[in-house]
Amino acid sequence: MAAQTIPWATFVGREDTLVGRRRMRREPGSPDWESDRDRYHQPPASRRDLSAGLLVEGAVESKFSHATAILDLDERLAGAEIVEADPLPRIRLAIDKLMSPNEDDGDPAATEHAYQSARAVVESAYGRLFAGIDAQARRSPRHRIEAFAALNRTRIPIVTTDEHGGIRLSWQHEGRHVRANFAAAEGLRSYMYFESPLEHDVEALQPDTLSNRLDWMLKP
Amino acid sequence: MAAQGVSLRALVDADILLRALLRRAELDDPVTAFFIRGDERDTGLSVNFDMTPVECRAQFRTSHGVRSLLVQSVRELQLEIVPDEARHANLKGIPHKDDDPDRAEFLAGQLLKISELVSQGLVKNG
Repeated sequence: MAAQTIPWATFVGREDTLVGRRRMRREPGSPDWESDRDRYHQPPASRRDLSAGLLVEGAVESKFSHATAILDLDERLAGAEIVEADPLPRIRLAIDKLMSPNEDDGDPAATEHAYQSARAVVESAYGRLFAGIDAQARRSPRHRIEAFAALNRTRIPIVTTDEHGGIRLSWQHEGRHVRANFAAAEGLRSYMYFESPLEHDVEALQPDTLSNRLDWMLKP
Repeated sequence: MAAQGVSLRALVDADILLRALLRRAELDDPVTAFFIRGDERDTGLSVNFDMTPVECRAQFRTSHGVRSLLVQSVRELQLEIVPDEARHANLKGIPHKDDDPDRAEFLAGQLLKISELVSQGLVKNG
C-alpha cells in the first residue's frame, strides 16, 4: 500500500500490510525527531489537534456508522499514523526556490514583487481555508470525517515562474483547476483562473477569492 | 511571412505539429507550454512540422522537451494554422495571457489535452 499524503501528514497503512516499507513514527525527543525537526516545520497546534482528533473520531465513528464511504475512510484511518506535516512549508519552500533557479532550467528568478505577493496571498488563503475546515470539523464527528476527506484531497500545487519572473501556482483536483498568477511587477496583471467541465473564468487574485476557489475545487 | 522562393505546402488534418519546450516550467506546468511567449504576440504560437522531435530541438540552444499536436485536433479548436516557412507555422487566435487571461488559460488547457509529450529532458546545443 502506498503512503497517502494529506496536507500535514503522510499516512501509512496497517503495519502488517507494509512489510519492509513502513515508515517509523518520529517521537518527540527521539533522535529521529531531532534530526527531522529542521526539515519539517510543525503545523500550528490547532491543526495538529485537528488532525489527531480526526484520527480518533474516524476510528470511533467506524464502529457506529453504516455509511460505506465513511467505513472505507475509517478502514484507511484505522492503522494510520502521522509522520510528517503541513503543506504550507512545502509550498513556501517551492516559492522560495523560485528566487534562485537553476541556470539550465531557462526560467527567470521570481521578482521580489511576485515573491512578496505570492507568499502573502497564499499563506493567508490557506489560513482561511484551514479555518473553514476547522470550523466544519467541530460541528460533529461526521463533519470531522468529511473535513478530513476534504483535506486529504488537497494537493501541493505546481509552482513555477512565468517568463517575466511572475509566480504561478497551479492546483488540480478531479477535473477542476485553479491557477494563481502573480504578476512580476506593478502594472502587470495578477489573476486567478478557475475551470471545471461546466465553467471557466478569471477572478481577482486575493486571499479570500483564492481560499474560496480552493474550497470549491475540493468539494466532492 | 514566407521566405522568398520557399514554397509552402498546405497542412492536412493528419499532419503533426511540434511545440518545443524552452523553459523547465513548460515541462513542470505543461499548460504553460501553450501560452503565447513575449516574442510570439504578433506572430502566433510557434510550431514546427515535417521534422522529428530531435530535429525540432536542434533549432534551440536549450530545450526541455517537445509536445506534439495533430492538425485536425487543433483545427477543431477553431484555431488557424498558418505556415510561414517550409517546416514552421504559427497558430493564430490565441491571446497573450496578459491581454485575455481567461481565453489564454482555457485554450492552453485545451491544447494541452490534445497534445502528447514526445520528448523530455534537458538538451543543450552548441
